[in-house]
Amino acid sequence: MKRTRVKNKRKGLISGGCLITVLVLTLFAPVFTSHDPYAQNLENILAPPMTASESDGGIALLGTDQLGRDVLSRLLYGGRTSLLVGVVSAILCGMIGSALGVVAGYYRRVAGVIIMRLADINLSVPTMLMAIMIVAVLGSTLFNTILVLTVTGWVSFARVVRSETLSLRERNFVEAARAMGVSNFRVITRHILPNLSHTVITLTTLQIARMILLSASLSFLGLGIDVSSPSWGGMINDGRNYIMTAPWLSAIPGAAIAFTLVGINIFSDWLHENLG
Amino acid sequence: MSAVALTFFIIRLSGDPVRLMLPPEASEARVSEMREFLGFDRPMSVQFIDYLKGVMRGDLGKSLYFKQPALELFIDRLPATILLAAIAIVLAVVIGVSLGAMAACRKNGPVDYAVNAIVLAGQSMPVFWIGIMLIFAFSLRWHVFPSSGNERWLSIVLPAISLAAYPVAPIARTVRSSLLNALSENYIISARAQGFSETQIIFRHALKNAMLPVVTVIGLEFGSLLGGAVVTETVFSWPGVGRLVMTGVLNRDFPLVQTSVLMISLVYILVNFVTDLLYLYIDPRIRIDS
Repeated sequence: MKRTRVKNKRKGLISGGCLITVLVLTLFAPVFTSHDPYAQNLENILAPPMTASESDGGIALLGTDQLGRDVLSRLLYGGRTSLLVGVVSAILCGMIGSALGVVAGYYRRVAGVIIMRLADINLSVPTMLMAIMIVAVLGSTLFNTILVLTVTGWVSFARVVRSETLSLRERNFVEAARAMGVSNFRVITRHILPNLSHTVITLTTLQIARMILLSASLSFLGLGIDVSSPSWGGMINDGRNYIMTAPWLSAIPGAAIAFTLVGINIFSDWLHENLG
Repeated sequence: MSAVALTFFIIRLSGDPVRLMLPPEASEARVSEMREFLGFDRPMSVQFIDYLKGVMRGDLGKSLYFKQPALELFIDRLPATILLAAIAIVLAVVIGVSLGAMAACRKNGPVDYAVNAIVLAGQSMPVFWIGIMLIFAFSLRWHVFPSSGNERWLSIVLPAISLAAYPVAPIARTVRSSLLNALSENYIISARAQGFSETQIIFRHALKNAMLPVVTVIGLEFGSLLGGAVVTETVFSWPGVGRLVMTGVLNRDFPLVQTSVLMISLVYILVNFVTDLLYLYIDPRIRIDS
C-alpha cells in the first residue's frame, strides 16, 4: 500500500514538472526569448545551436532555420498554438461528446439510437483521413483545425459516457430520485453528471495528447493553420529539407512534442489512479 | 454505406466544390462550364442518387489530375500500402506482444518499468518525426537503409518501423493486463503444479487465452495505422494510397480524394469484420453460443 502511494506521488511530480515547464515556457515566451519568431535574418541562416550571431548580438540557443529565424522563439511561440489547439479541441470534444453520451445513455430509445448511429458513421472513416478531407475542403485556419479535431474526437467520449450512464441509470439513487418525481433534466445534471466527472476529466487529458499529435500531423502535411506562423508540426516539416545539414531543425520541435505528451500521458495515468 | 454518404457530404461541405478545384483566378464562365461538366449544377439529392448508382456499378468518378478512373488509380497503389501496413502490423504485434509478456512476467520489477517507459515514449512521439529521425540516422548518417522509394526490399524497413511505433503501445498494454488476468486463473496454477516451465506456461497456456482483447485492439488500431500510412508514405515517398490521398488533396482532385478515403474506409471496415470472425476461431465458446 505504501509503495503505491509513493509511486503515485512520483508520477504526479514528474508529470506536473513536465507540464508546468512547458506551460511556463510557452505562456511567458517573451521572458525567455528576446527574438521575434517571425524576424528573418538571411545573414545568419542554419546556424547550429549555441552559436553567437554577429549581426544582432544575441545568442541563438537552439540555432536558426533556413530563413535565419530563431528556433527557440519559434519553438516557444509555436508551442502556444499547439497547446491552445489541443486544449480547446479536447475540451470541446469532452463537452459535446459527454452531453451526447449522457443523452444516448439516458434516453435509450430514439435519441440514443440516433446518436450512436452518428458515432458509428464517424468511426467508419479513420480519424486522420476524415481530418485531412475536411481541412482540404474547408481550408486551413485555426477555427477549422479546432472544428475538425472536435468533429473527429467526440465519439470516444460519447461511447464511454454512454456506457457509464447506462449502468448509473439502473443504480438505486437514480431510481430513488426518479421515484420522488425529480425531472429528467435534474436527474441528469444533479445525479448522473457528477458521477461521470472523473471519467470525463481523465479522458480529456488523454484527448489533449491525441489532439496535439493529430494537429501536428496535419501541419506536417501542410494542412496546418498557416504556413508562416510557427507550429511544432510545421517546424518539423520545414526542417525536413535540411535534415542533412541542420538536423536540429526537425529534431527539436519533435522532442518538444514528445516531452509534452509524456507529461500529459503520465498525468492522465496519475489522475486515473487517484480519481478512480 | 455510411462511409459513402459521409465522404460525399464532406466534399460538398464547402458549398461549391468546383471553386475548390479551379484556381482562384478562374473566370466565372469557366466555373459554370466546369460545374455543368461535372454535374454539380444539379440538385444535391439528384447528385447523391447518381453517385450511389455509380458506386453500385463500381464507377467512382474520374480523377481530374490523372485523367483516369479514380478507382483504377487506387487499386494500382493498394498493394504497396497493404504490404507496408501488413509488415507494420506484424512488427507491432511481435514487439507489442513480447514487450507486454515480458512486463507481465516481471510485474513491478525493473523490466516492467522499462517496458512502461518504452510504451510511453512510443505513444508520445509523432509518427512522422520518428520517420524523419530514422532517415537521418540510418540512411543519411550510416547508409544502412534507403530513405525513400520501393525499389529494393530494404526500403520497406524504415517506413514499416515508424508506422509500427504507434500501435505497439496499446498492444503491449493490453497484452500485459490481459496476461496478468490469465495468469491468476486456476488452469495456470494447475499447469505450474504439473511442473511445466514458466516459458511453457506463458506461451502455451496463458498467452493463448489472453489474445482475445488483443485482437480487438489490433483491429481498432488498424484505423490509426491507415491514417498513419498517409503521413508515413509522405515522409518516405512510398507509392501507396496514402500518398495518393495527399496528391489528390494538393491538386484539388476531389473525385480522387473521395474515392481513396471511401475505399480506405471500406478496407478498415473489412479488417474489423475479419477480426470479429477471428473471435470465433480463437474462442470456441462464442462459436457454441451462436
